[in-house]
Amino acid sequence: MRYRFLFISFAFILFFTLVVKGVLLYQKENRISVILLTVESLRHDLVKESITPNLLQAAKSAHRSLVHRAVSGWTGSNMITLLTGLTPFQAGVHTRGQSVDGKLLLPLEVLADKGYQVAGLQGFMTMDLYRNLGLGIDDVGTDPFFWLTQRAQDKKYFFLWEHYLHTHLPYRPGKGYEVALDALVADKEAKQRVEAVRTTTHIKAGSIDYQTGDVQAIHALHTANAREFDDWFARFWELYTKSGLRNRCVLVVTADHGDEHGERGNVGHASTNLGGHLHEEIVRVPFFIWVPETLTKQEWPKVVDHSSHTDVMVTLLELLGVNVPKYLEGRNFLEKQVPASWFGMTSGGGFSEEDPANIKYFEYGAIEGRWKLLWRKHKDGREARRLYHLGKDPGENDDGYALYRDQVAELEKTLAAKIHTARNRPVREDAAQNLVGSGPQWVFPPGSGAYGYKQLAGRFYFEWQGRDDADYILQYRAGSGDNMVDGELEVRGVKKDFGKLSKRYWQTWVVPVSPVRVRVRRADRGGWSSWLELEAMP
Amino acid sequence: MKWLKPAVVFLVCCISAILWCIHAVQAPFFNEDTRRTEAYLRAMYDKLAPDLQQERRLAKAYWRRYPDVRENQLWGEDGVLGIKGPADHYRNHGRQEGRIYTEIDWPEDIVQEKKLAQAYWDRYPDVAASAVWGRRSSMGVLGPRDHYRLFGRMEGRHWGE
Repeated sequence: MRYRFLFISFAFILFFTLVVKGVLLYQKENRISVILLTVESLRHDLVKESITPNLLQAAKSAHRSLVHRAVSGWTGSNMITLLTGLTPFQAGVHTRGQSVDGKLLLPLEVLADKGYQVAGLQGFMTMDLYRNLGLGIDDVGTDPFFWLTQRAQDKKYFFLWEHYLHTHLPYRPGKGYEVALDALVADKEAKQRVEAVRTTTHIKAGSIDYQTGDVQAIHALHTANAREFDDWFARFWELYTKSGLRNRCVLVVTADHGDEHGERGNVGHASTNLGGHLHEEIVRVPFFIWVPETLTKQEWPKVVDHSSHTDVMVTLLELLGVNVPKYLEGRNFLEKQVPASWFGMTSGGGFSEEDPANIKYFEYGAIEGRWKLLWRKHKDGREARRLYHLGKDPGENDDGYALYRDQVAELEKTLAAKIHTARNRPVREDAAQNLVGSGPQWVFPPGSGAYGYKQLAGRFYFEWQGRDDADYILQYRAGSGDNMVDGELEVRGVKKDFGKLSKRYWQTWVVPVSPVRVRVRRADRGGWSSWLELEAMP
Repeated sequence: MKWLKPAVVFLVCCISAILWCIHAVQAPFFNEDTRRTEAYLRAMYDKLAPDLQQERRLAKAYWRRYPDVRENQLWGEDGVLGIKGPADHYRNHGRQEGRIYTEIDWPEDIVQEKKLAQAYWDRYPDVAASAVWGRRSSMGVLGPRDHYRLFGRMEGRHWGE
């Protein structure tokens, strides 16, 4: 009797274990992953057969949006919307040093709770801008092709955000994509203006007065960058299809935002020119989504009339069978078509805002049907409003604010209500000092290099710019391998004097531990100076 | 209850067999698509898997060549990405900026190297003034040899005292 009981118990346990294992296996193999591929600054008009044939060839099996709009004029704010579904009005992240409210349970956190590996692989994704989103950064630095190969092998389900960066300013095409500028520019001055676009990451609004004639050359340079992206995409597409990911992974390709090519006298976007706006060249971006066959519904349109970044996360959550949080304002645009309507908001300087705690101006935008209202509000109280009819004036050149009062009144009312709800999250205290080169400047020695005993005249000291009554920390590293010494010295004032050294001391104790590296910072706040690397010559 | 024992055995066997069959059909041995996919993934893995020792050497070389990267809070020597920083910087920025991501040759005799470096700088003022390989660069006396290896010999420059 006892043996029979044991046998039955064992058999039942085995039976249920097998059933559970089978169900889990079935679920695992049928759970859908997501790749969100964003392309930096890719305007919608850069996606065409002559520029991105590989993307468009792949897009034959995708659903695409005819008119897709970003919701802000810079990367961080747009990416937060793509990764959370929150509008910029809700998220309140408008410059560096800000993060979304950590108390919110956001979609990526929900996915992580459900066992998804939620990952971003690029260094900039560790910035505080992307905190509290649920984005895992353990694999940051890993080659995305390698990471996807691993996921295809281990069959783990995941949400990956990958950002293609080489389409950002400067528009410096790589080898094989060069542009003959001479044929595109009118004269020497025009060439100089366009040359800045090839060499500079930031071109502040007003610093160079771009002319209408420059647009073509600037566009050609950016086009070359887009071609380079397209060839990169061909390799990515090969991995996506040949690795089996195509059958179990949704792929989204879009851009964070577009870029101005001189149409309004500037180049770039909010973070690169500090003259952020929401005109169509900034907000119109391409959008494609590939859905595995097992999820695709016949009734979904291949081409959707319009959508925005706000809709992307809602669409993805519904595809994955995850409940959509009620606070998300987007819609699943594959399922639900509604009349054109859009809201956007950007800070003037985006990531590079001069003082993150005091944003100079915000530009808000709203579209209803074919009318678009842009409303700029400065910190000092000044305001400016422009109205455009996107059907008759797609380039937004004719401001109809004074002429079409009825349309203005309606849009203003809607946008004012939206502006009223806009949030602006607190800025981390040291964000203003977080930019490169924020620490003290070296006075002596003036820069890295090789120094002999005679050059220093036997007197060895470091001096930097700053306050005599402040405390500083001087960090040093000398030598290498087993002989390396490092540490920190506390210094009052802006000079650390080691006094007069004898030649013998120099030869015995300084030269053998060369090179010596030092850097300095205020003890109470602020960033480090650049490293000073000194080679002590015998 | 006589039927219970054979019924349980039968059920367990059936489920095991179904699971086995499902996976057998998907196994590379029976399925051409799976076989091709797995071969592709193995090849990709072999091609892309990083060699950590080499990555460390490359990172140190990149930091040495480019002090602005070395000091960076993200990609730098003390940055949060550790030795993955330079690779990430190069992939996302450096390549476009025309930077170089290769190892540095370390000379065996540093005293001799200093003489060779001085001679190279004296001979080629453009190298001596270079921010990466010049006299005041963070490469120090390692700069000239690095320049010669990467560019100089192709440009027909001379290496030696």
